[in-house]
Amino acid sequence: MGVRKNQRDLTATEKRNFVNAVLELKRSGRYDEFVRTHNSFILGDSDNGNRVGHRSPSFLPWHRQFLLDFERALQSINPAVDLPYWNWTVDRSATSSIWAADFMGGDGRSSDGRVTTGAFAFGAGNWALNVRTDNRNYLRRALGAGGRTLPTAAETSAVLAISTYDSAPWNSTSATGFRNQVEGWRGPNLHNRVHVWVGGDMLAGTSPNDPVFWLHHCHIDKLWSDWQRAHPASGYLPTSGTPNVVDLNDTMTPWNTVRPSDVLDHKAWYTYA
Amino acid sequence: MTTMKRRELLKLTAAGAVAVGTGALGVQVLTVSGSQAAPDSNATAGKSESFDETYRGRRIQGAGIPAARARSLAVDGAGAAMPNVVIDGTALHVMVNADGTYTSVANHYQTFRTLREVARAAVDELDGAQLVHVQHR
Repeated sequence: MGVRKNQRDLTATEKRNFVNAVLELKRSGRYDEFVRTHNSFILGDSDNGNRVGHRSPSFLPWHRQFLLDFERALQSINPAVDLPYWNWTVDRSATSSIWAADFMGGDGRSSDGRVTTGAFAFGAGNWALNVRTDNRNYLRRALGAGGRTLPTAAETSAVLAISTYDSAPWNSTSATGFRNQVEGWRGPNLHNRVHVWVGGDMLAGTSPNDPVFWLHHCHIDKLWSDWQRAHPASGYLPTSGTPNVVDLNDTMTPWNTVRPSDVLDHKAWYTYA
Repeated sequence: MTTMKRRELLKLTAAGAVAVGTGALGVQVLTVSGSQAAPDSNATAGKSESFDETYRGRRIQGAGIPAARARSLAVDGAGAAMPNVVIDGTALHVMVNADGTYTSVANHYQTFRTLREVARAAVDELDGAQLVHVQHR
C-alpha cells in the first residue's frame, strides 16, 4: 500500500524518481494512451447525453480509477513511486517549489507559452506532445495569466462542508451537492479553476499532457477522501435507475468492470499523508 | 447508464455540425474566460447566432439556432450536439452546456455565453497555431 504525499514534502530523490518514471512512461508510449483516453472522454461527456468522466456524479470515481491506473503504470517502472498531490490552497504562486526545474518545471515563456525549464520542457528532448488538438508539440503554461487566482482554503472548506454528494440533474448545472462544486461548474469553482490557472495545455481535453494534471487530480481525489471522512453518513449518489449517468453499482467505461461502489474506499491501495 | 452508447456519441461527434444555438442571456458565467476578447454584447436571448469575421487575423465563422431548439435536440439524444464553429476552415469542437453556455476543445474547463465568445477565446488560445483533430481509437 502506498502513501501519497504532499508534493512540497517530497525529498529530492522522491521528486527525481517520480519525474524519471513519468519520462519512461512517455518514452514507452504508454503515457500518451492516458492523454488519449482522457480527451476522448471529455469530448464525449455531455450534459444531456452519456457522461462518465466529467460533469457527472462519476467525475470523482472515474478519476480515482484513472489515477490508480496511472500510478500502477509508474510503479511498474519504479515500485517506490507514489502519486504526490498539489495543495493549491497553500502552494499558490508561480514561484512555488512545484514549478522548480527539479520537478514540474516552470511557467511558459511570454512569446509562445512554451515551458523552457525542467524535464518536461520541449528543449530537454523527452517531452514532445503527440496527442494534441493543435499543431504545437511543446508543453505550454501561462501560470496565473490575466490576474487569475487559485481557489483558497476558505473556498475549499466551504465545498467540503456540503453534506450531499450530488444532485439532479446530475450534470454541470447541478446547483447543490459536493461533486459539482468540487468539479467547478457551480460554486466557488475548485477543479476547473486550477486547470485554467495553469493555462496552456491544461486548458484542453488533452490536459494530461502536462504532468501537473496528476498532482492536481491527486489533490481533488484527496478532497473527496477528506469529504468522505467528514460525512460518513453521506454516500455516492445516484444509487439506481438514472438515465445517462453512472449509478452506484453501474460499471464505468472504459474499464467496464469498475463500479463507483468498488472505489469508494481507497485504503486498500493508498492513503494520504 | 442507459440510452446512448458512447460509440454512437463519438460517431455523432465525428459527424460534426449538428447546428444548435445560443440564447444565453441571463446565464451566469461562472468561470473567468482567459480570452482577451471582450464579452459579446450581441448575446441575445432566443435569437440564432451567425457570424463570419476576422479576429486577430483568423477567420472565424459560426452558426447556431435558438436555444430552445438546441435543448430539444439534446433531449432527443443528440448528446454532445455541436454547433458549427469554424476557424480558418477547420471545425472547432464545441459543446452546448445544459444552461445554454458553450465549451470548446480549446477551453474545456470554462464556459462562454455565445458562439462568438467561444470562437474568439479559441483563437486567443491558439495564438496562431492550427487546429488538428485528435485521432480516436
